[in-house]
Amino acid sequence: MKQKILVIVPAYNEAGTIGNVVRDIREAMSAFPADILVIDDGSSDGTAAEARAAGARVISQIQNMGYGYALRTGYQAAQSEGVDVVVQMDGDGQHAPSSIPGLMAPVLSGACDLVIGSRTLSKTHYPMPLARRIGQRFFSWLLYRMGNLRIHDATSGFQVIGPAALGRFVSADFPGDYPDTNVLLHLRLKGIRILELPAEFRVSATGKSMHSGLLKPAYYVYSMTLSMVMVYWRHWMSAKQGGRP
Amino acid sequence: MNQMEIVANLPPLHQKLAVTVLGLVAAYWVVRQVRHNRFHESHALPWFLGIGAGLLIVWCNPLLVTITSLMGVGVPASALLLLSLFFLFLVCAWLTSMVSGQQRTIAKLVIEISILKSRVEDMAARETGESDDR
Repeated sequence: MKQKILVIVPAYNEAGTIGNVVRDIREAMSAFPADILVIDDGSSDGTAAEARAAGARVISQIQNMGYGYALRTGYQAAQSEGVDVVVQMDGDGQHAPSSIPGLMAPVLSGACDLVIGSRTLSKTHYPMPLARRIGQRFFSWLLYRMGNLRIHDATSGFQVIGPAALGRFVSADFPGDYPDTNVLLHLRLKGIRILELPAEFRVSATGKSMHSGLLKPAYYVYSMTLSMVMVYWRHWMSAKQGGRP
Repeated sequence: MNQMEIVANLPPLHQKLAVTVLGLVAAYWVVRQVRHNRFHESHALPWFLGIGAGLLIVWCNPLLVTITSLMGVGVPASALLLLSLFFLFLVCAWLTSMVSGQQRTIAKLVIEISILKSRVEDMAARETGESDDR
């Protein structure tokens, strides 16, 4: 049976980049019956029009809500359309679409429920600032300590989500601001099978990052650590009360 | 400070009257906010309860003495100040939880509306395409 595939691309002010991203995805996915859905997170430039012109479907958020909520819109749309497999990638061109078929294979075959595209396992060198490398290591370590899951690139947003995992992504407790390692921990504790595979990453064409500056990364570390502790705590309480883990 | 000293330091009548006038002015101000739809009835409730509790404590000497002694502060006036600060803290905490709840609701609505809006736009585009074909 053919599985329905949807590629969701959250984008905020990515005019000039998003068109190429959509065209690259279409080329990489030519062998698969997949739709491309760009979630325009209230952009003020021509992101939506450019994505549409390149052949993607577009959902324009009525206001800027942030990366996490844009993703959640995509997951919700996917679920309401009866999609089986969701490919999630960024709209700034960082994630190489040529890696998608390789990442999708284990999910399509049913070997696992979620695949993470990893820049750390990739043979291609991806330059990352020292602070971000330290952050990545810290959250990978935390994920291992709390969920006994060894993921090298726990903050990667390049993911392929299978049917079993997708239902968890639209639950009410899905974090709105930065869904990263906390989601992986949540899924792991719920028994979702997670696999990390090498993927090709490119330096963003615009050079922008949502974690740039001084305050944003500091808030990210605080928010993610607290969120992970809460996920673990809820799971522990639920297990203690005899609830389903 | 022992019970006797606390009793000796109870606020005199004119101070109690001043607090009562302040409380009544505050209550009137809250009523006006509700009347002009600036406060929701449910949001006005903690303010009324706070003002009521404040007046009760000010006028009920045994209660004020007990609270002062329990809190371990020197004089009843300081106990009243600490209680006021504690009340403001409670209201802030309550409002924070309400804002968080509203934020979740708004996010949910934005997601739903955005999806529905895109469906309507798709349908309109399809209809326009069909009528052009005709």
